[in-house]
Amino acid sequence: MKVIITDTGVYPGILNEEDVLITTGMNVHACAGCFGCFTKTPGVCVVDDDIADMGEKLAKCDDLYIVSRCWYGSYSPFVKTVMERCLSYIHPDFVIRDGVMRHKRRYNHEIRISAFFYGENIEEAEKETARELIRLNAINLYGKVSRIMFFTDALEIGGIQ
Amino acid sequence: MKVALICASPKGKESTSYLLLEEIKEKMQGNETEEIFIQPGINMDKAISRMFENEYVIFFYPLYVDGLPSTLLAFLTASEMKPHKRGIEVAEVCNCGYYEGKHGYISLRILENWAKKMHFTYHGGVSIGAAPAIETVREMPMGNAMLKRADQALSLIAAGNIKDNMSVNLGIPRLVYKKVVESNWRKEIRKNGLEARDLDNKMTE
Repeated sequence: MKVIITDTGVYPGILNEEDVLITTGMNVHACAGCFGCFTKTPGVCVVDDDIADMGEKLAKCDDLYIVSRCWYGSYSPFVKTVMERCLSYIHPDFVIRDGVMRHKRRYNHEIRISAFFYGENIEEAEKETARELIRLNAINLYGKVSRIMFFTDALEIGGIQ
Repeated sequence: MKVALICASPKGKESTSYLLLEEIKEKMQGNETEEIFIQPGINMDKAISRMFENEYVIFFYPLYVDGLPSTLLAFLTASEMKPHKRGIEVAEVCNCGYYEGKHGYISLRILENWAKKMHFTYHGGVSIGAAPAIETVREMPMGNAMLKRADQALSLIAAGNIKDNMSVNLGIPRLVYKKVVESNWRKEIRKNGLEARDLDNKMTE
C-alpha cells in the first residue's frame, strides 16, 4: 500500500482502497518537540489528531508519495508538519552509519520514497536543495529514493503514473 | 544596530535555541536587540512586521527532519507576501540533536534560499552538533575549551562577520554523547511508568 502526503489534493496514479491519503483540511497539528513518541507512548505520537499514527502508517507502506509546493528547496509548511510527525517511525537510540550519527531503526522495513514538487519559478538552487533534502530524509527514514520530479503546475502531477 | 533575535523552537524559552540566542545576545551588548518567538498559535503578521523593522535578523532553530521546523517555514512563506525593504542582513544558528553539526547543512541552505528570494543580504549560518549537551558541557571542567569552536562561530555571527555556512561539533567524544542521550531516554521512559525495552515498541505486531 502507499501513503500519500499532498498539500493540493492532487497525487500521481490512482488511490486504492488500502492506500492512505493525508491532505490539507484534515486535523493536523505541529510537532511539539516533546519526544513523547519515544518515551511516553513509544511508536505513537502523543498529539491526538488525524496523523498521530504516522509511524505505524509508514511501517506498513511500500511507497511514500510526497506532493508539495517547493518553498526555498523545502516542502510546504503543511507537508513539513506531517513529515515531522513521522518521528515515531524511528527509534530514539543512535547508531553510527557511514561515519555519522543517525537514529536507530524501529522497524526492519524499507520504504520507497517519491517526491513530486511543484511551483511556477523553482530556481535551480532550490531544486538542488530539494533533491538533497529528499536524499537525507530517505537515509534517516531507512528508505530508498525512487523518484524526484518538478512541475510548474500541480495539476500535471495527476497525470503521472 | 537594530537586531531581531528570532527563536523558532516550539519549546520557546525552554529550548536549546533560546539558550544559543541568549549567548549571542550577551555578545551583542550595545545593539538594540529584540526577541521574537515563532511558535504554533502566534500572530504571524505581527511577528513578520516586527522582523522587518530590524537591520539584522538572526534565526535560532532546532533541526527537524533535516530541515526548518514547520512553523518557521510557515512564517517565512507568509513573510514573502508582505511588502518589505531590501537588504536586511540575515544569519542563522541551527542546533542538531545528532552529534555532528553537518547534518544541518541543507537546513541552512533552505533559509539562505529564502533570504535571497527576499533580496536580503545573507551572511551565513552555523549548524551546531550535540547542541542539547551545551548547557551540561559548559559546567564541566574544561567545558569552555570544549565549546570553543561553537563560541567562535557565535561570535562571528554576533559581529556580523560570518561569511558562509559552516558546521561545528562540540569537543566531547561522540560515544560519550551517545551514551548520555540513550541513558536519558531510559530514565525518562521509567519515569513514565514504562520499561527500557518499551523503547523498542512496534505498532505492527
